[in-house]
Amino acid sequence: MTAKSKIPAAGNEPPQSLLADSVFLEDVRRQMLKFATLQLSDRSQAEDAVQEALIGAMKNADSFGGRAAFKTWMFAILKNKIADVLRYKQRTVNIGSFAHDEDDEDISELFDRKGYWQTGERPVAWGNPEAAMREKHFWRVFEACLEHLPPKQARVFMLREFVEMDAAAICAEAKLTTSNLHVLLHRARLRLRECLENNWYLQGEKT
Amino acid sequence: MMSCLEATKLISEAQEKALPLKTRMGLQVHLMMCGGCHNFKQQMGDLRAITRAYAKGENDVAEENPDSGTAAKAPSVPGKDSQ
Repeated sequence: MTAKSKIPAAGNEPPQSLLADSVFLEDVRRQMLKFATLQLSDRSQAEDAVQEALIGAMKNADSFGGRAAFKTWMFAILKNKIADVLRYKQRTVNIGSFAHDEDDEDISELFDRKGYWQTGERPVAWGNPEAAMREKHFWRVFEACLEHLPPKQARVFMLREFVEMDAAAICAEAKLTTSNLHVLLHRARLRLRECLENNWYLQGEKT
Repeated sequence: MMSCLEATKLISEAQEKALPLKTRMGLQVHLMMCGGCHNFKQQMGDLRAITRAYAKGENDVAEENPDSGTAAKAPSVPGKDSQ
């Protein structure tokens, strides 16, 4: 607890302190690595991309007023690196061309023909997630659920909730229409919550 | 009445933008009658909190809990959270 209060409030520290702040840098590096691994599905390519993005960001560190801006900048560089890698691998999934290919069947498993929850698919009350978040096993389940999302859904979900980009920025980045983005996020959230519920919340009740 | 599929779409969309008042009211009516969608709405907030905590690396400081069944391998280290 005391360690946390020593960290200065984000926003106003001079740029030199950002580079000297190894806790901050290590934190961001770890987030970037998770993000890149999910996007590239290749750990060593992800590590390379993060490495390059960090080096690129360091060069410009003095033009940033605070942590938040610096972190956003590092992720922007990382996303470009990832895009380069994907182009190079020629396996760029064109998110923009998405139609209804990625899992319409899932939706029809969850809802009946009139659009109401199927019996057994209706979400249950989770209670307070704080307790779950203190347990290592919960996070293993969460990671596994993330990894099981279809790739396009995983990418936009991570951009939205992990990198905290707003919808307009994601649409521009991924060349999506707003309604495509909404569909992808809706499906990602339906799947993720179902996965967490089945593999964590309902598991607890059985034991 | 609005279907659950439609309601969950709107609840998801509300994570990105403010919904128009009329839509919010229609959704509210559905939520009053539908426990499943009510839970879904709560869970969207939880999912966001969980993902942000994950982005901050909170999974790295979480502890093994022998009571949660499959997680009994690593013994918990006393005083581990006094970092």
